[in-house]
Amino acid sequence: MSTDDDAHVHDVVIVGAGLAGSVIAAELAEAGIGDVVVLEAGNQAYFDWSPTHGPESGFTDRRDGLLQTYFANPDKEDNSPYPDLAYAPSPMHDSDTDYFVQPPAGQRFDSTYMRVVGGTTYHWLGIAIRLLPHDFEMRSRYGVGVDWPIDYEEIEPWYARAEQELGVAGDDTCAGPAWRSTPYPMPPIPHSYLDERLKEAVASDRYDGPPVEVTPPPVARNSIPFGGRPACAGSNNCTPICPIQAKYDATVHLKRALGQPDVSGRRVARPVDLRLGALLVEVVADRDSPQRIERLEYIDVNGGLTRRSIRARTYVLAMHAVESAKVLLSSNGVANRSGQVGRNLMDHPCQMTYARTGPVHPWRGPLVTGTIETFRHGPELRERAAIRPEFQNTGWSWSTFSPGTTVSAAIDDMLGQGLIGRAITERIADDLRREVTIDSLLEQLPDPSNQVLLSDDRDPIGLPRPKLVYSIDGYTHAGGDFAFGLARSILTAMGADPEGVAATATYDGAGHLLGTHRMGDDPSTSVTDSFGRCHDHHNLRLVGCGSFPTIGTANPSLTLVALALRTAQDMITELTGRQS
Amino acid sequence: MTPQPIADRHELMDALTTACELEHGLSLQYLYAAFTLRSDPTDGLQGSDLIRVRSWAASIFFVAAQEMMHLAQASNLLLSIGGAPHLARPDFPQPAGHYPPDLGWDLTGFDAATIDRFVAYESALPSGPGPAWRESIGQMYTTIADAFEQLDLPDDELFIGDPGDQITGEMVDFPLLIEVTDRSSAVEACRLIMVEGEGSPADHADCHEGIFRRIRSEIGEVDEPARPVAPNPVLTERGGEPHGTLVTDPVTRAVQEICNDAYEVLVLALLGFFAGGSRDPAAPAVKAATLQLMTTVIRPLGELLTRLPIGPEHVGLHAGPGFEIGDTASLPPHRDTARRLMAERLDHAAASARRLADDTTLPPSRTSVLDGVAANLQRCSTLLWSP
Repeated sequence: MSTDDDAHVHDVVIVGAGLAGSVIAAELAEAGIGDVVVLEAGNQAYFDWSPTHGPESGFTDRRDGLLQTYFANPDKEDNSPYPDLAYAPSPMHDSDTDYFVQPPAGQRFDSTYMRVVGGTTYHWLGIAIRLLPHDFEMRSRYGVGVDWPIDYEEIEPWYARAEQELGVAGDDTCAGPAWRSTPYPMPPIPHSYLDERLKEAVASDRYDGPPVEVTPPPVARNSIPFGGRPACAGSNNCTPICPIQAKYDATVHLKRALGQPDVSGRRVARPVDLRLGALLVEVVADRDSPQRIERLEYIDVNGGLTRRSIRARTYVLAMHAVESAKVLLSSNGVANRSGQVGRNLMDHPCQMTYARTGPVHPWRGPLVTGTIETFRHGPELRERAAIRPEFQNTGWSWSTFSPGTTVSAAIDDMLGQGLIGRAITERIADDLRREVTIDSLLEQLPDPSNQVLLSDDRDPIGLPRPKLVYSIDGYTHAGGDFAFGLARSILTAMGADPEGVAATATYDGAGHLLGTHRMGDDPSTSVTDSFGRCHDHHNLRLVGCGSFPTIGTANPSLTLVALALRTAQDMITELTGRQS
Repeated sequence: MTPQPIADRHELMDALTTACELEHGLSLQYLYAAFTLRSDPTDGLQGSDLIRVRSWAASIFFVAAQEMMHLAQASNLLLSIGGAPHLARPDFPQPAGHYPPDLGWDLTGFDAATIDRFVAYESALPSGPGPAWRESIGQMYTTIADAFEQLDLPDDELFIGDPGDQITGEMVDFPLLIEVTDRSSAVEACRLIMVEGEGSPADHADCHEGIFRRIRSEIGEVDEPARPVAPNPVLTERGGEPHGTLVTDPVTRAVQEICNDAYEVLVLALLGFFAGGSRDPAAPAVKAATLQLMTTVIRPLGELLTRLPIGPEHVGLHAGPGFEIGDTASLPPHRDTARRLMAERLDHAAASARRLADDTTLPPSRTSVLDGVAANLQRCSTLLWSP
């Protein structure tokens, strides 16, 4: 490798063109920050764009190739439509091909992400839900976890903006404890037939106190045309890819940052400079003034593997909780006087309960259109994890890999009984239309021993692979036990045979990777302040889900965006000396 | 010509009645075009072409659904000032000049000319001289909104309709639907329809016009995205002359008769629902029946018709749903009687579908659709009336 310095000092270098990086890039470009570079490991944008055409690129979405890859891939998992880059692998669920280094047995960290332009939002579910006020004060209120350095009052206006930016469809009457200053930009996605049957079955029910209310979750999925994107057509394919971009993904903001006009025809003041195939390897502090980051070192994979440097007034790492931690741990102690970098790795373990009920006709509509929000808070959280049940419009797909398993089981049974032909198809149809899976997201508390480390194993270009140490404690397991009891009572009310209600043997991951560079007021126990600024380096910001001190039971992307918007405004104020 | 504002309640009712017909007619034209798209994997398109066509179909179905919402919204406006729900409309085709904007009404398959016409329907641009409210759909609603704001009547004399007759969003699964009870809600209802149709100064993309313009810009990317269909397929003649393209193939005629019967029952059921029937104890079942008629009967039959020959006079052309309403279609005032009669119509239609499904000369792909439709018609019949 050779060193090739970019001696120019840019205003801002953002690393990662996923959700946080794209939102901040768009905000800076909108504010007219003159010289913003975005480095991205992925080597291809799935929309019309080229560096030479810049704002005139057209920006037409081109996900057809991703869909073709998915159709052709026999392994239908979250990352199936996307390239696994030879120089920058993405983690997979399959332990044999996994990029993570983990013990072969026992509780594994089961969530993945993608290193592509647009990041993991390509295959997120789209749930865009707020944390509740108590989630920011778990230590003060319930004596567990830690408190955030900000409260709900502080973040609420940023939630409101985030909902507008992503385009969130929700029911204003279902806010619960999370009070709202603004209505949702779009009406809710309609309930599925399954949800309607659920609502009938649990009407006026209570379970251990709280009411069992099925409500539509707020989602960054269009219920009406919004942002130049169509309304959801119910393809039942949000994960791993929405075929029509009715579901928000980060390319919306990335395109805007690159100069795509918005729906009123307005472009950002100063488009950003996107550089693909740029793999960050080290953050280098100034030798004489270590509270200042002097440069970033990255590998440019275009036309070989060239090591380059880039300098800026401010740096933003937006590479996801694992990659950001991995690079910092490779950077000679940068940002880590607290020793917290890489620690407190969290996910929402998913307790899955499943049974056959009366006909619910799954595999229609978005993957989740009904949830129960009433078990996210309460004094029980002193003793056990909060839970947030979701109802899967995909039968037993997640819990048992149906329909494949259902079809093969039915054929086995029927052949054993000597029946053939129409009897088998009718049996399969009947089984499939009655499948219900309830998955409950469980809160996981920060535990410093759950962490990202550097493995001695190397990736294909010689960088350390992430070694994950991860376990689930009794607090979360107690929440899982509670979730199973609730789910069993619901399924039974829907007509399931109590003996036929089953749960998966282990908890799956929710695809939420959090906590590895948490924010806080105390530099000895946290990595950044509430604006993502490192306690150790005034010109280094860490953004994304790694910032979360605790995680509640909310899918984290909306909070991620709210925090990113707040960080962006702080950066604009700092860079321009004026209030945005 | 100086634009003439609406002068009194009578003229406002006229304009809102036209609005109801207009929304109804637009919805059917959009559905007809969407039914012709080759959006099924068995239709010959593959890969990115199929994905593109399916996204067009989804977008057009979405716009058609919003037109149905606009119909309910216009109906709420009409009922608020004492009018009666209005779901009658003349059969297709209609010549230019009958409705704003000054364009003809035709059931035509998906192609560039059809999408151009849809863009023109939804465009904010006026299309010609005439009374202000006839220049464009947006102008029509602007004039209606102005009338609600400016008619020189006290509020309690303008809004003489029963507020209990207003259709709520929850009743019809359109959460944005506005109950019209005063001048501000009336104006807001008009504004909602305009924004969804032609957009706003801040957003020209997320509206019907924007959607059709986007589809129009993409049409060249797919070869033959739609099945070839005749315009305005009809079963009946006026004065000895067919006013559209006469369907002569006997099987196609039989399928179209079933589709027309289901459509007519749907219209009557909705009429009853809009005319205070939403407060009837049977309303949930009627609502379920209307939804199922649309999605499990009319849609599959509509798509099936675009696969069936219209007749030997038009080699290579297929038919489509004509959405013809018989001259005798009316709703008895007694709700139980009305539901009983509607159920009887559906029973007959189910029997016809079953007979056709048993026709061994038809390929299995056709008979399986008819089999399913027969079962669905029977289910809708039971929802409407169970002795």
